[in-house]
Amino acid sequence: MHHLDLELRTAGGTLKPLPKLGIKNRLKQVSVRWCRLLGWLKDEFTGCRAIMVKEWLEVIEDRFALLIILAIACQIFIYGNGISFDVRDVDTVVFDQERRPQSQTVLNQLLATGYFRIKEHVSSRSEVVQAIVSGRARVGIIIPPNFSSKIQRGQCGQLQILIDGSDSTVATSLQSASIAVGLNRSIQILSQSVPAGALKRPVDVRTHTLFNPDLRTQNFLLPGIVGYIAQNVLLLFTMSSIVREREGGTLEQLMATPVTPLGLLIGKMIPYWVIGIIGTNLLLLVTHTVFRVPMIGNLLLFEFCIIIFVFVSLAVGILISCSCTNQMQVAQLAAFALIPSVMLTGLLVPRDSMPIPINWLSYLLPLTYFIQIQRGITLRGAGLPELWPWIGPLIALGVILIYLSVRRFKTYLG
Amino acid sequence: MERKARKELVVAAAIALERLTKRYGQQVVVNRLSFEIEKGEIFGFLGPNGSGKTTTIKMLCGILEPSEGTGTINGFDLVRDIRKVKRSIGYMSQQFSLNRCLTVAQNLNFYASIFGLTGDQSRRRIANVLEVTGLAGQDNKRAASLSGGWKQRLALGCAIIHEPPVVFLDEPTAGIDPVARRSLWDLLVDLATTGVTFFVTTHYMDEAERCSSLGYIYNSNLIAIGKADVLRALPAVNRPHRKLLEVTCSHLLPAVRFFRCQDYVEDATLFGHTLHVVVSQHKSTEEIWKDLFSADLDVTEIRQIQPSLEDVFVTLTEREEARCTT
Repeated sequence: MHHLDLELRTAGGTLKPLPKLGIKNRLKQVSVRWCRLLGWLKDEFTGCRAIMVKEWLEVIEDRFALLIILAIACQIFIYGNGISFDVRDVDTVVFDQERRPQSQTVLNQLLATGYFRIKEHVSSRSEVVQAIVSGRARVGIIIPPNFSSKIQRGQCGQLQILIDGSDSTVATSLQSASIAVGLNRSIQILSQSVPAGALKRPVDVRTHTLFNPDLRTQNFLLPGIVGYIAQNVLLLFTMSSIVREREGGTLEQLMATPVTPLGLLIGKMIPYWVIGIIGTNLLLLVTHTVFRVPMIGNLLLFEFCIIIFVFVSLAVGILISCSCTNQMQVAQLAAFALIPSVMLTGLLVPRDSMPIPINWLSYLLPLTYFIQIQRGITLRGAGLPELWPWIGPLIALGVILIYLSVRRFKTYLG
Repeated sequence: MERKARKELVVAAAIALERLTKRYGQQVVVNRLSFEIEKGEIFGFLGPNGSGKTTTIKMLCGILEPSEGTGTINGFDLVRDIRKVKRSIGYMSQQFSLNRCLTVAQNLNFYASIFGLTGDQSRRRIANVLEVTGLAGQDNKRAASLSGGWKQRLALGCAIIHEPPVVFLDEPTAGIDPVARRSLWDLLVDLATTGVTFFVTTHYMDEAERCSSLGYIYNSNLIAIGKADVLRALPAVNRPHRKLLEVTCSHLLPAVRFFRCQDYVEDATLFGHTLHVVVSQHKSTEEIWKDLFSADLDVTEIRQIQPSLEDVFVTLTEREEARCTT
């Protein structure tokens, strides 16, 4: 096209050649545009640097706050050592009315699973029930007096296991363990009566766990806990930040200066942003080295996600802070954000089984996204293409939160 | 050239307001303020509590948006150029509003940096402000540990760090001792001679006397404005055929009771250790002497005086109140 144009012009002779934009001019134009954009950005962020420096000074001065951060961070050791969903050594009472080798074998096999720990032997059924009701034990094993003789006669030897169902997780585990032991023992006894190798299982189900092969609770829980601690500490600190300025009258003073809302909010966030990124990394280092939580995926991608997650957590706090008029309101709103972040984000309870409206609610908390991203990267080695559906919305959430904060900020001053 | 000259002509007034109004729903807080303040003046903005003083200042500083009307500060429009306005003003709010946990130097540094001062320029300004405010040598003290008067000096220092041509002070001397109050005012007057315009609200009449011009706002309306002398000569204050006498005597209360019963006396009020009595023009001082003497009141001095600013504002307030109730 271009070529044709030139030819026409020379042929016509009357048309003056258009002033062609040289590379230099074009560069100039681009740079002018960039300068304008930069100038606009600089205008929008007026005072950001000053606020940031001041905020750093205040953070360093505030020893108490630093102590609290440390104290909260140390919780990782408590959770790392203390919390486990693994069902182990559940207190058990036994009412063995037989006390012969057959019953002893089954009992030993049950104990070998590691789920049960015999706390006491009792001598009546009612005592078993009493032990469970009072909470002294969660399981009662009742072996009838004719257990062995029935098996020897080729009949079915029955064994009763009473399980306290008030903790459903424990109950389910014990139930499947007990049934598995029963089946195994049955197959053992059956195989004794036929020639070796003649008995084959008609169906054989084998599971293979792809990730977290040892099924350690810590691998599942600790990464989430890191996100939880990070989000809550960051929320606590930013939530009060704007309100504090307002109560102290400094905010009003600042509004009479050229500081823009965006400059103020971002300037306030930067120190906590840096602290948050370092802190989250330290916590992750602890989970990795002390509690041996694996790190399979791309570390660089993970760092990128941490940077975004910390920012969005801060933004939630900033929005809350911009919507409150005093610290009391902040404290009340804090509960509104902190409790759902335990219950709804997938930290403890799987999100898959939640009803849809509640599920949607959890998308308001950055922790929901981060837990998915974190488990994806650290445990499953997922990359950007797999995690984009979580990372993208997280970024969008951050932008929306900041936009709303700036708007709230403007309206409550006016 | 011509355009520049014209611009300067417009800029001549440091502050010019045009029907500036603030409404919250139905309630009018500031009603159609229009006035001009020239460069280098100390403008005292007076009025009872809740009359709209602080709201006006907040609108002029860009903290509140005017509901109606506009104005210019240093030639910048209050509505369109609010950022330029904010760059060219200093503001000191009613409550102490600096960062308490930062030191004096850190606070000054913070405001210098907010107004875009850097490097040498910033250091020079901070040194200058420390010297002018007398805070030099206290730069490492925390703001929270300063006494009331010094806190106000620091706040003023932060407000003038970027050498703004206009400074707004909202009750700068509320709650500080008389010595600190006077020295703060000396500082203001010093700065005003360098061409800085001050817009000050106050409740103290002695401070009002030191202002080069005054405005009086009552119930969200501006009811008087001008130099102190002009206000004293207002016809509303100097009622026709009346004069104001200052009576000094030892027993004030009986004297007040006595005056209030006389038909030629319009008003008698206690004024410190003297009485201010408004009497009709043709009643001579000698006649009053005589009356007092016959009433057995021990008077030492009677003299005709100009109404004080307090007289002016009390009279204006009463007149407005009367106008509002009828």
